[in-house]
Amino acid sequence: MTNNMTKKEKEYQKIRGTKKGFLIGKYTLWQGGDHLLQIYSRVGVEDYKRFYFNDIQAIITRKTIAGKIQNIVLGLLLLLFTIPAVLNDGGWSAFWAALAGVLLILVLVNLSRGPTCETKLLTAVQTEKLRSLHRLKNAIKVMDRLRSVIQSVQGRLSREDRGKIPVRRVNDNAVKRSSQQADSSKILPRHEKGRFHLVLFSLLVLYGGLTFSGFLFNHVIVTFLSTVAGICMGIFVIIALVKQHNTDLSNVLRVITWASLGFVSITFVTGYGVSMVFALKNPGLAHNQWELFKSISSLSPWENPLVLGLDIFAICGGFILGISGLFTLKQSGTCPIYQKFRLSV
Amino acid sequence: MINSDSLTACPSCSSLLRADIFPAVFRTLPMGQFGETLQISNEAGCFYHPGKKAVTPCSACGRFVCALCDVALNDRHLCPTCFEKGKSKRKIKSLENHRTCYDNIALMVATVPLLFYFITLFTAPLAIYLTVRHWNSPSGIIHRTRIRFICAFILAGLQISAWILFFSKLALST
Repeated sequence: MTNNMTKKEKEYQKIRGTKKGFLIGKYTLWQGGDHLLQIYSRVGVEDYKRFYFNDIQAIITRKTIAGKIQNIVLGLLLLLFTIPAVLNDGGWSAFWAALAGVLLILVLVNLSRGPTCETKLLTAVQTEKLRSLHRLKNAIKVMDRLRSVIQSVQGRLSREDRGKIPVRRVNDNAVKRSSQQADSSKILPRHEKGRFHLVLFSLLVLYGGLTFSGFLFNHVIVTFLSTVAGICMGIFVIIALVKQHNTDLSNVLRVITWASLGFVSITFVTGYGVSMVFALKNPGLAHNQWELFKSISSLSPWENPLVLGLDIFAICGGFILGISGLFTLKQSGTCPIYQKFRLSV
Repeated sequence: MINSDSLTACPSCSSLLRADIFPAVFRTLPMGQFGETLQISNEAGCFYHPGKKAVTPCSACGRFVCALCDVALNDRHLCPTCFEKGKSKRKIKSLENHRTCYDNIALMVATVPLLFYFITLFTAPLAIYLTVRHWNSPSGIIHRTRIRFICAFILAGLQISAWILFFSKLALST
């Protein structure tokens, strides 16, 4: 009985590394007797994928820049919240300092976890991303461990064989057919020019510029233009996300677009919050939308610490995402304007 | 670059990577098999295709199956019916790709509604029902204790006790 229990407990051994899903769920990897088990667990439900040691053709880890981008973004946000914490005093200073403290902890945790990577496992019929192996330190240790386990099942690859490794071509019918059967979503990516991305990033830069102009002068037209730009950003970020699905656009560009969605969402929520707080503080204006709009547009960032913080966030977010997006679009050579320019040259 | 211990730059895209490649990469995909037609009448035929030659008995039910019907799985040979039954009735663990973990659900039902305490009037009995009903149901594929069920039961019990206390005090005061 006790032996059975011990055997049951040791059926799978946890492999280090966990990857949290976007909102809920997490990915973990377990080592069984003859296979690897990837578990995606979310609220009360678990999905399993098995990779038998005998079928594994390769495990490939590639270092990515996601960790660096996270550090830069968190660092900028930290700076963003530290400035109002230093400039203000009293309750607002404590509020901004608390936010900056949380961000500092996040930066330190991210730094301690080391660089990021992407690990893929290949079998004859599938290429699967091992999501839990997304930190290089972990991935290398796990690969060392798995290499010896898989080699004990399959044997070692000789030096002569290393030169004969077949190259998988996209047009290889067998591979194409089998991979399509294994995962219908992994069809050949289509070409995307990125017109909507271009508009989105331009709008982000425009939004940053309009918000910056609020530091110099306040006018209802500026507020109106930035509201229109914000709404357009919301529309174009959704179109860009739909358009980029299953295309040949670079991963960096995709990440920037997703980050733009986060930025736009935060901007919408905080903007709505500010207008609600303003309406509650001025009940006389609450029923007159035009008067409320005019009063909000007359708010100066120099007078209100909350508006100052939000404006700094909007300027940094708009310029960082917009400029980096335009730059990446230009670098990838998909930018329609850049292509026209290159053709004319 | 192949099977080295450290990261090396890809000659094509210059990304830093490590590639562990194994002999399975040289293995060709096995071709689909067709049942061999029976030539002599005294040879055993397939249960599902009487005209085809049997190659192996099913490890579960013992029926003779031809090469077409033979499903090889973890050193076992199954007929299509046993394979299907094993999958639908969860008798073959290696075919399971989805499970519902009732212990997690019970614990969630017992804890999350605490944020909106008045809902616990309905969710606490539900958590107790889930605990009792699914005490013996299979949980996740990785073996784990029933600690979640126990916690859910205790928490839900406390919530119900609190409601009883509240209503009894209300009844006494009126």
